[in-house]
Amino acid sequence: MKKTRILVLLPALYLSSFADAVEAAEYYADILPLVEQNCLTCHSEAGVSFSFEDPELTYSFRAAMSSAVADDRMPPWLAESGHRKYVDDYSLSAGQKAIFADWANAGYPRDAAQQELHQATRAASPPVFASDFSVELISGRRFLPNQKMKDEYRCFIIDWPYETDKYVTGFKAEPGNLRIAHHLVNYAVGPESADLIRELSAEEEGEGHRCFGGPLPDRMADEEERAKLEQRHPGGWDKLRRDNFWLSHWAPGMSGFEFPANTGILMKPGSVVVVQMHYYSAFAPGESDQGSAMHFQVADTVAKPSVNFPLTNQAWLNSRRNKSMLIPEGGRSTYQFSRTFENIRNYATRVLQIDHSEVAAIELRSANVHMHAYGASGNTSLIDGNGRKQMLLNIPRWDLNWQRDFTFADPIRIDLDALESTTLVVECTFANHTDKMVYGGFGSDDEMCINFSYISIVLKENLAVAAR
Amino acid sequence: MWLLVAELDNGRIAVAAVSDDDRLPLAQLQSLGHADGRAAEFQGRPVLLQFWASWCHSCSSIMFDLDELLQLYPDTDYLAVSMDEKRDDALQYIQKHALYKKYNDQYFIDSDKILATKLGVETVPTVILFDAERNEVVRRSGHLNSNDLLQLSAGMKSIAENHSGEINK
Repeated sequence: MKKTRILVLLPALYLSSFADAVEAAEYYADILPLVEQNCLTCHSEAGVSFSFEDPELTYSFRAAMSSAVADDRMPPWLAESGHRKYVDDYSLSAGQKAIFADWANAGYPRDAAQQELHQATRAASPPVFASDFSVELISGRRFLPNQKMKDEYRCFIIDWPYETDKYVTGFKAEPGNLRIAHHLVNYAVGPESADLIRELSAEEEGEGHRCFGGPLPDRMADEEERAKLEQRHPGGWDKLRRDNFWLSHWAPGMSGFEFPANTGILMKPGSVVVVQMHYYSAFAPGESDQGSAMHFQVADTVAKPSVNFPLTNQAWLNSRRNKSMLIPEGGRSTYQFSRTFENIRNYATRVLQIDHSEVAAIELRSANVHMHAYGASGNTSLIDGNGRKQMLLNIPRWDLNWQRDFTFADPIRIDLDALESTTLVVECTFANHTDKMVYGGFGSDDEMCINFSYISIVLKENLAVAAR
Repeated sequence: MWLLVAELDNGRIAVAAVSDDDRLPLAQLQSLGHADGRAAEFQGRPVLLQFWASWCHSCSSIMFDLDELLQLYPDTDYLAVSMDEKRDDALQYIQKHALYKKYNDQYFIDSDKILATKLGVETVPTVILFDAERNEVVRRSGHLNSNDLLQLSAGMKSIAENHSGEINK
């Protein structure tokens, strides 16, 4: 039977007087269950990092584990607590962190008698993910990431197979080699730009194309490359960079992810999905991806059609020319951008091809700050008509390696009369340790500040009943 | 004040962390590379000391960042200490990894975690920057993000500017 832990509930005033009476945290009874519940999806033989499946071996990491928990480095959940409740939040609570601290302070006690009592408490198996459309990248071949880089972001294109409008309602990835697959992001590219992204990708040697900053080829950060493209396809680049959006993602520890109930993202016939794989070869040099599977759930209709709205200043992406985003050598800088929900409604209705008159309200369901390697911290907030600021997501310590979507457990509804006066704000702070100026742009040496938010349209009642 | 010195000892490098007060050697590390007399140069020069392990993902990642900084500040010496329990694990990993091989001669192992304990290092990666007088200037543990790299870079720059005269002597 597990001990009841009361230490963290005690008022600080009484802590010292009770300290002797409270039994210190013990490895098998208190720590191992937390490790098994929160760490094994990554730290296992089948996972992406060294295994914590052997309790005795795991104990040898006691100091490193406690230090990582105390510093909020592990589990790697970037969102600061206290703002909103997020779906699939695997971070440790303050009470759980206190148990680790208590255990470390007591000298990492381990009671052999507790070992026999310990019952492995593995995280529950994820529910079965029923896929409607599955495809394997690099099928029958292999992709060896660039061995001269610690990371390679490589994009592979999937032709969207449906000939009618479909809503994506869920996604699951099965990376081919978990030792090098760090995370992946799927971007949708609309039918009018699909041929262009195919063409650009095919021009690069090997499988797919290099794509650090999103679905578009890295080389397009170069003005000459863009000028050449403009000659071939006038207006094509501008259209392409606006005609793509975050569709779904996978990070270590994630199984299938179903979008919020009754919602889905519209995919038009002729679209493509650009899978941006983040390969991390630094740890496992010489290893290749021999086929990564992507599974999608789709629906013909959803009650609340949705989009991932990209909140960013488009001018930042051309900063070498317009100087709108500059991060000086050896310095820091902060950039902020906002849009009203009226703008966001207009974007969503345009993408989803819904008339404004059909919209009853907007639901804001997630926040997802995206920066590159010079990102230091970032946040997304909502400011209402009275100027009150509500923090939706605060990332005090940005880490490119652990970017992900933070879906709210409870959506935020913005009614029609508040669309104009309510704004969504993204703010990014950068730190540049190099001896060169860093600019906003698409390349791996450039920076970005984007918030992707999952936006659902609440249709007027009489329309919502009818299948769309 | 902690001091970090290195001495040639019959083909092995003895790295000792000592205090001004007792000057007692606190750790003897075994070289993982082909140590030569160059180790003596650690004295009187800034040192970037990295604790790592072959099982550590972030350690391999930050090698790329440290390599970049070491190229920017070539007067800073680099010293890497493996905390692997098995010497072969560290050796095999170094051989797989091009950047580790590049710094092969600066790799040591502290299986008993003697130096790590004395310096209060609990986890890997941990990076400590010492100035030429062996004052600790910057310490960071875990994956280095842009803020960490900026502080490390600023520390290396400050040392280079303040001690450039002494270093060039």
